[in-house]
Amino acid sequence: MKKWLPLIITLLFAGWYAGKLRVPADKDWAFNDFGRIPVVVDGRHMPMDTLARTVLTLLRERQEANYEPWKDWWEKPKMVTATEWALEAMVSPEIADTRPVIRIDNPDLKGLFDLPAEADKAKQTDGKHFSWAQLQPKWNEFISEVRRASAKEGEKQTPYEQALVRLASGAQAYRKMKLTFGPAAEGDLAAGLTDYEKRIAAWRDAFKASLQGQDFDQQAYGWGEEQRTSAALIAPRKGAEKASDSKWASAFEEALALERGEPASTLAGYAEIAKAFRTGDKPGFAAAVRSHLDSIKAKDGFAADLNKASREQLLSFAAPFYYGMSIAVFAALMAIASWFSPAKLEWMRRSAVQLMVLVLVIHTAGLITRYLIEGRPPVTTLYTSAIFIGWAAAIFGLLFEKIYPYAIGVVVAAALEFGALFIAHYLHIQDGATFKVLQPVLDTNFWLATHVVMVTLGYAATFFGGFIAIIYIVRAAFGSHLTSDLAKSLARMVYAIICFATLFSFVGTILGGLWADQSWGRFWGWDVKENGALMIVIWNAILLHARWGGIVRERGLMCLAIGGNIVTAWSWFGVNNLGIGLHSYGFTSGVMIALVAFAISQVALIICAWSLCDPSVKDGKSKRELEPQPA
Amino acid sequence: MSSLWKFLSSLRLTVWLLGISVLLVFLGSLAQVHEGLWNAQVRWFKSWVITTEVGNFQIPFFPGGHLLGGMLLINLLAAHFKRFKFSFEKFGIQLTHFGIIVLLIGQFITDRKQVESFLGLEEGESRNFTEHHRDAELVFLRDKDADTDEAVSFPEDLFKPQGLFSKSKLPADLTHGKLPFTVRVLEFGMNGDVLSPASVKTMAERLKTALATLDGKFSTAEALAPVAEADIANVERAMVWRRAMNKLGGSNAELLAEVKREAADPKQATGLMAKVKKQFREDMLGAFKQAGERARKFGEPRMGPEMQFVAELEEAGHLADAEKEESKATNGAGRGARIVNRPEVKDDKMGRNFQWAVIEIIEGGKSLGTWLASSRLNPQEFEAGGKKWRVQMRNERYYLPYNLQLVRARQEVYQGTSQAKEFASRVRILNANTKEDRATDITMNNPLRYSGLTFYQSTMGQGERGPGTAALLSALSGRPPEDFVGMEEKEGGRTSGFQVVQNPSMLAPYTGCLLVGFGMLWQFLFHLTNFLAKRAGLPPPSFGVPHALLPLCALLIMLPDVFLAWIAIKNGTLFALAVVAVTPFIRGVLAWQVWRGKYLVFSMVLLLVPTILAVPFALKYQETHGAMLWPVSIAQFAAFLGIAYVVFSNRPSGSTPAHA
Repeated sequence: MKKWLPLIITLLFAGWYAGKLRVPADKDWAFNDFGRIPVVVDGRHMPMDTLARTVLTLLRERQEANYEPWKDWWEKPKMVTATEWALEAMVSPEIADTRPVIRIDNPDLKGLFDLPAEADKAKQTDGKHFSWAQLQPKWNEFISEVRRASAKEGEKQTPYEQALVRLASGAQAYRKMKLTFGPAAEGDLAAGLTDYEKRIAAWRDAFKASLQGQDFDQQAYGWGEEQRTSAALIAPRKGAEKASDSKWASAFEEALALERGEPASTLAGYAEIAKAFRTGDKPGFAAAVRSHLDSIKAKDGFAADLNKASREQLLSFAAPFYYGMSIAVFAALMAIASWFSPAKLEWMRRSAVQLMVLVLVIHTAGLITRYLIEGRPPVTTLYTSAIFIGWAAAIFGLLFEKIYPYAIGVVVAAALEFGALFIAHYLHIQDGATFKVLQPVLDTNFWLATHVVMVTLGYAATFFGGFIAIIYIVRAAFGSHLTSDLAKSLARMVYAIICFATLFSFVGTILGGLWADQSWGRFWGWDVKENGALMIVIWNAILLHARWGGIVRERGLMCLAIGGNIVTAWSWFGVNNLGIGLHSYGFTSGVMIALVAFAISQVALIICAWSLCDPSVKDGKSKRELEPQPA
Repeated sequence: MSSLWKFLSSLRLTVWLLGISVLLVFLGSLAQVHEGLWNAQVRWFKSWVITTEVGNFQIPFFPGGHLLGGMLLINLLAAHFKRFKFSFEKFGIQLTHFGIIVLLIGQFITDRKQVESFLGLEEGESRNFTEHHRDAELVFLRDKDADTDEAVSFPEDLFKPQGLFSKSKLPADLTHGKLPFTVRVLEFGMNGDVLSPASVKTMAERLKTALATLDGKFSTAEALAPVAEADIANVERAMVWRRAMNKLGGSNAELLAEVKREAADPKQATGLMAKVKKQFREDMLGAFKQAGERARKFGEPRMGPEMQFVAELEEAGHLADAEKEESKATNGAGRGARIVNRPEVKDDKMGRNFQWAVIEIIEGGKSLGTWLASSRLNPQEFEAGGKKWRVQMRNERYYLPYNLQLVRARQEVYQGTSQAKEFASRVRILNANTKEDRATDITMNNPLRYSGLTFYQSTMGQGERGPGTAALLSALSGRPPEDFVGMEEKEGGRTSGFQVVQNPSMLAPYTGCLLVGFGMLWQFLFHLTNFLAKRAGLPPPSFGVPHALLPLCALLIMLPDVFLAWIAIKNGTLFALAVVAVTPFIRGVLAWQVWRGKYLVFSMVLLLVPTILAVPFALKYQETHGAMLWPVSIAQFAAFLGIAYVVFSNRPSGSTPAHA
């Protein structure tokens, strides 16, 4: 039985995940079909599903909407998918504006809007989620506060100001999303167009007046500019020159084309969808969505966009990184449990290993899908770097577990996988989106594939060494758990992984220098991110030289490896939050505090190690004998 | 002596130096937040010691980048000198350290010798010089003939007070063989506004008038309500009222109601009036001062510096001083001009400096008078040695022996956004010496390397012709966008800026990188191979059986270098050159061992890894140069297969795997 138990456990988990591995079929409304419709938002191709999830995540930090947040879960509050909520916002904004989907936690911000701070079932509020309509009375004050707050640099903002800026970006995304259908939103294209064209005419007058420096109708001007510059691109345009070069147009451009008398607009299809939704015509809705999807498929050069959109929708539903993270927790717990009685609980260790293999398979599939959608090497943003670190750590851990089957490698693999994916999840909630368009200088798959991947591998390897060191210290703290045999194996593991960390981070750093030389004209510019990478390299070099020189032994080696955690965390997150330099792409609020807390915990571990006796001296050998030889 | 030698070559010193380096890099990164990138770099990394000002002294408190780098270099060299002995096992470590030596020396040379400058061009414009971002030069010009000038220039470093103890030191007189006079720099400032007395007076008048108007508007408390009514109808003035009353919320009608309520009460009305008046005055002075900031950053408004100056005088209560004249110079356009020093701009992103100097021209021991030279003033003419000269302060120039012309600046954006996707410039090289007249493209990540300089795409201005123009015009006119595409593609009006770099040690990082990369790979793979070979039960490193295949394999190992040398000679690409400089040696050592039939397992591994790594490089190379790098990979792979055959045909049979 024990022989088969690990496999059975793994298969159970695999079966559970396989159930998530599809876009659920539409039973009632064809919302998931609607979610598959490709659009272009902020320069990026995505399905409606992603647009909906992004905006909803920005507003309420979840990917589904709860229309009755004051109800406890057993009272079955009305939950709807992001797509359904987004569709409502696009075609019936007057209803969507009353849905309590905007999460506000900051008490000062609630105060600004004069919102109820406490949950109150009678008044149908949970004190956290509010509707767009509830924010309107104080909107002007809010905007002037946002202006004030955004003038400050990120790291100088108070929590209240950060909440302001975040809400503003969510609100902006929501407003933009509501523009998607343009004149087709009400379901009656002819009537919608008449009104829309009037507004376009007013916008033209206002724009021309503004060019001539005369007074102009600010409202008409603002309306037009918003439609023109921020609405999602929804319509495939014919006349794309190359198949790879599909061109999309917004509802605004489509309306202009209709005005010019150009035939057959996509807007008619959107009007059908809107009409069916507004009138509650479920079969009609399904048919309208289907015919729109078919029309895109039929257009030359746009089938690829549709395929990508479907793939991305599947990725969102399968959420490999999120579920992988959950399985990693089980693996870690099982492996740690096996420490207490390695011989008896060997099956637990084996289960942990097999679960981690499962996680690795899921994770790898996720990475490949991302590549197929984006066509980019795995690391382009802070979010993707976290995902990649988890992946690399899982591989390192499983390799080590193969060589040293002491349930150490697998624990570190699971812990790092969980930690990295957790950070990724947090970053996702912060940003709303996981795919982003790249700045011109990053538009090179060659350097992204070499420099960035190498540096990230260096991060992963250094963290890996640091985490083994943590296990060493923790087990040494419970004396009997660290036999001198195990201690030696751990030291060997740390040494080996730090060797690779040095290789990866050095080569990665230097490749970064070569990239900088290619695009800015200097190999090394003491940019903060460059400095961060250099610090990792030097730190690892210190570790290796100190060991070769016999300056540190086992315990010292472990302390240095833990120090590597601090250096790496600084380089990974800290430098982005200084708000300077070429790499300051990923400012995330609250990171500095987390970073300091992490550093303190690591220093505490080092101090803890110092107060423990050195196990390698316990055996009564002389120092000389123990001194490792230079490799 | 021997103890010093021992100290210098010790590993303990290495570890300490590395530890201090980590600290230096960390502190230097933090310092960038407040000191700006450029200054922090100079102070922390490009220095021997880092000093801090205590009173009048500069107290050193931390070793600088150059000192640490130098010490590490000495430590490395000493250690190698003492312990160096060629051995196959440690070849990797030696290679790594040799690479680090190359990197350290290369970076040192770069810090000292690299020259960065800027070339800004408008479409159609051509230039034969580049300009320094920050440094100014004092230049004396003379008409040589109708078209050309003769110029003698002195970079600011020659006359700028600098160094550890030189605050009081007067710069030496400037002389040059071509100048019939001596130049004495009496005063120098890094950043100063040059104010013309007439404009100062005009602006002072304007400010006085405005203040008087304000006084008139808020003279009596009774008139407060109607004034408020008129003001609040205007968006901007309503905002001033809001700020004065500290009331940001609520509608304008509510605001007006409150003002009226307070104005009706005589007790409160006076206080309210003072408050509002003060706010208006503050806002006005703030706007005047802003004009100065804007003028320094964007060059507009033209009288900005004067506006800022009078506002500052008014704030200090000395507006009457505006009438006073100050004369630092007796001659030229700067006569009677006032100079107001502004803080030195330390971050290039925050604008630029306007250096100024008061100079005295001395001809044959006799002074001709003093002039004010500033980047703000045009060339000023004077006569010396019977010839007409012009003096000017301008950004330091570097002349090129050829012309560069901007043909076309092009920006691409992501669909439906204004976010840039790519910047590209088409430039024409016009070189009379080589009779070249050709066009080429400079894009992000693809600089132009020409005549020892490298030109990088840096800034771009699209004017009225940027992407999206066609769509906007189409929307405005109701005509299809195709009608306006020509407008976007037409040349003229756009600008493009290039960062220009001259770095004599450009090859060093490439070479150092390869050496270290190879060295580390060598070392780690060597240990990994031994470890794995032992576990797999393969024979120990030395076979002692020369095989007929091995000489062929050794030749195959060397083959890629022949191929790469050919490419390097043909194209002169930096990376190929670096490879050719480094790899024959490394591969030679490897080939020699293979020839002797030793370390075969390791040779196999070492061949396979770079072969795999070479694939992306091969792809990239093919993409940019159209040439194939595949023969490199194929030769390596063939050598790999040959050695693999030898290894496995010599594998002892029946031996049980020995566990590590």
